[in-house]
Amino acid sequence: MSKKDPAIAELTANDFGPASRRALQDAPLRRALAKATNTFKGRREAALDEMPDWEALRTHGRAIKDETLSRLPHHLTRFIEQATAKGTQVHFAQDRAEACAWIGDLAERLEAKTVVKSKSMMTEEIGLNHALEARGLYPVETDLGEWIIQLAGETPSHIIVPAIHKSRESVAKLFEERLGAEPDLDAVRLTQLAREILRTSFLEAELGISGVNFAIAETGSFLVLENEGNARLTTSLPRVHVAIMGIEKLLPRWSDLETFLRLLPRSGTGQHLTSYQSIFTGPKRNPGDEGPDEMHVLILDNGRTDILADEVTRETLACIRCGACLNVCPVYAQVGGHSYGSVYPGPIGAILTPQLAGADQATPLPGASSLCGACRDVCPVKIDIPRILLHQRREVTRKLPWRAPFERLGFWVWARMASSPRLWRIGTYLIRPFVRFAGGSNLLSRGFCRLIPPLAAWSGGRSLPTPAKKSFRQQYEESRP
Amino acid sequence: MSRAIVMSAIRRALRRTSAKEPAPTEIPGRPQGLDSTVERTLAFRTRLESVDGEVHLVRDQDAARDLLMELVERRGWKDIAVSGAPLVTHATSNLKADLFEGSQDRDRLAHCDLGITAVQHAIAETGTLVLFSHAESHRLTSLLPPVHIALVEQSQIVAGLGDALALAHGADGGEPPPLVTFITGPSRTGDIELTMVTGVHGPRELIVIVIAPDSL
Repeated sequence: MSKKDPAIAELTANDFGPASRRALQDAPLRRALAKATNTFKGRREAALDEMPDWEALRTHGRAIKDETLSRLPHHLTRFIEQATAKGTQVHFAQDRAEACAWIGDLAERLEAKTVVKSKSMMTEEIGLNHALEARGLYPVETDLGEWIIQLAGETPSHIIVPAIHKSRESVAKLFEERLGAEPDLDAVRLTQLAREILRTSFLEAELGISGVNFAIAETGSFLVLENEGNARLTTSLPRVHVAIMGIEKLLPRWSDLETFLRLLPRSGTGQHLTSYQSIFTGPKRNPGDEGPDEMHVLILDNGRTDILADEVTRETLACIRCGACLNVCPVYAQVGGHSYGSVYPGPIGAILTPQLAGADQATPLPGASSLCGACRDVCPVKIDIPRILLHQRREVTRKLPWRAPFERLGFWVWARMASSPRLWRIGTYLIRPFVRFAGGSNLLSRGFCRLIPPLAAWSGGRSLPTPAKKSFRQQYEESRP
Repeated sequence: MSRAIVMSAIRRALRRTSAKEPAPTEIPGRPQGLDSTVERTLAFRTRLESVDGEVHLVRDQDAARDLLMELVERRGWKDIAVSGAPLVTHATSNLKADLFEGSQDRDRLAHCDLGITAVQHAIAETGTLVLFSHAESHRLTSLLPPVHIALVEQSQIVAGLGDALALAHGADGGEPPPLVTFITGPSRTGDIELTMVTGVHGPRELIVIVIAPDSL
């Protein structure tokens, strides 16, 4: 199934190579990325300085996630019972086609002319907007960054700041062309304009769609974090609220929220707390109350049970989508989110996309890392991303019939040489002139490198270092009195 | 149908996995030294001011009413939504402005100048207001107007997130209320070049009046 219709909408992860080379040529993009990733890194560090128990918090958060995943059927069953008792209708979908069809049917049943959405990675993953547009519905993204992206017909390039790749000038130009705004507005005026236009949509909407940051098995509740207030509007004004979540979003207990409320904002934006948290436990209980009449929670698998089944990579499901690993990743900081060809960019995207969509749909992504480990060090739930990347690289190599024997031979030769001083001396003596010739960045040596297949790919972006004329051992012998 | 399929896929995926121990009940990262009302009040103010909230401490309800009158006059607010909580009713009793119940008229609410509500609790650790939907009709009044003024009694300020969550857990007849809202500062966005702009969808300004007989 994954071959016909990947679990992630509009997936082009196999184009990582050419896409990242294009991104490297895009100077404004790289300036924006440098500014954004450095700003977020600084804010996060400042927030952690005031939280001495950070390591204990990470350990605690991870323990809760591990506990949840290990007894997921129990917690899901409890969530369904509790949510249903509070008047929430719980639904399941196996894949994105089923999820999109279900939401489309609901919107049609409600005869919804306006559908508003708050930011949700899950709805990005399943390509909900395009699926609804195909049925003549036009869901309005209301998070400012998401709305900009929607107006521009683009996809998000960061989990927390979807329009991170767009400059203020380009947003001003977009608003001028699409909305008839005055030219060259500043960020404040652009934001005000968005508020005015989106207010109308909020007040008209019959259906509001949100994501879920955490769901609570104990009480059948779920929590949404945000800064703008658009999620509050999306879930307060329309008559019907639908929340969409993956099976891994659960926490066992209401009290578990405390730890994740300390972890997520600090990791994501360096805030102690985002401006708003909404914890929903069912629709309104009396006709005169504020809030939606109907509340639905749609729980999706979409490839997650396959990840759960793999004990080596299962911890990927502990991710709380904070985006911290993007901001510290030296690869992401250079190539940006779009290069990854998936709604999940950066280190987490590199491990998640191949697992959700199938390794053959995202072959280059496990290689899109220097394995420096910064992602693992910042992860608020301690996901060992480099370990999973190495595992995935091994799986990719195993499937390439010509590459596995070649690499095995190479490492066999190297192992023999390295374990025998005599062979090592002879080998390095023989190979030195070649490497000295191929090394450096002059045209002749670059051309030479290009002729030899494994060196050709490697030398595309690097120069072979030139070794000294004589080895260390030779120099040592000669300098002895 | 899909529910049964997904649930059995999950069971299959976990068939070789034994249940992990529950996470420790001791919760790390809790704030220290917020034992007295005065400490909590001052911490609440410091935190909320650090995220662009405006905080006023007043001695009693009458002082809150006087301050509110002064603010409304100075800022020229005319059309004012209220939540109907007793604290709000008292504080707005001599305002010379058009008052209306915010939850009753959402179109007027969307175009008015100011929304005034009370809260159920506040959190010193983070400078947060805690709103329970069953206790007061403040869901939209705290959200749609360009300015939100919240009235807080000093005794409502708890030390940390955990205290507020514990109070919310059984607040509505032993269950959590349909909606618990945490508010920490005005609505904000950094989506255009990370330039911080307040008032994107919710209030541009958050003004909190704490009735604090113990701090003055």
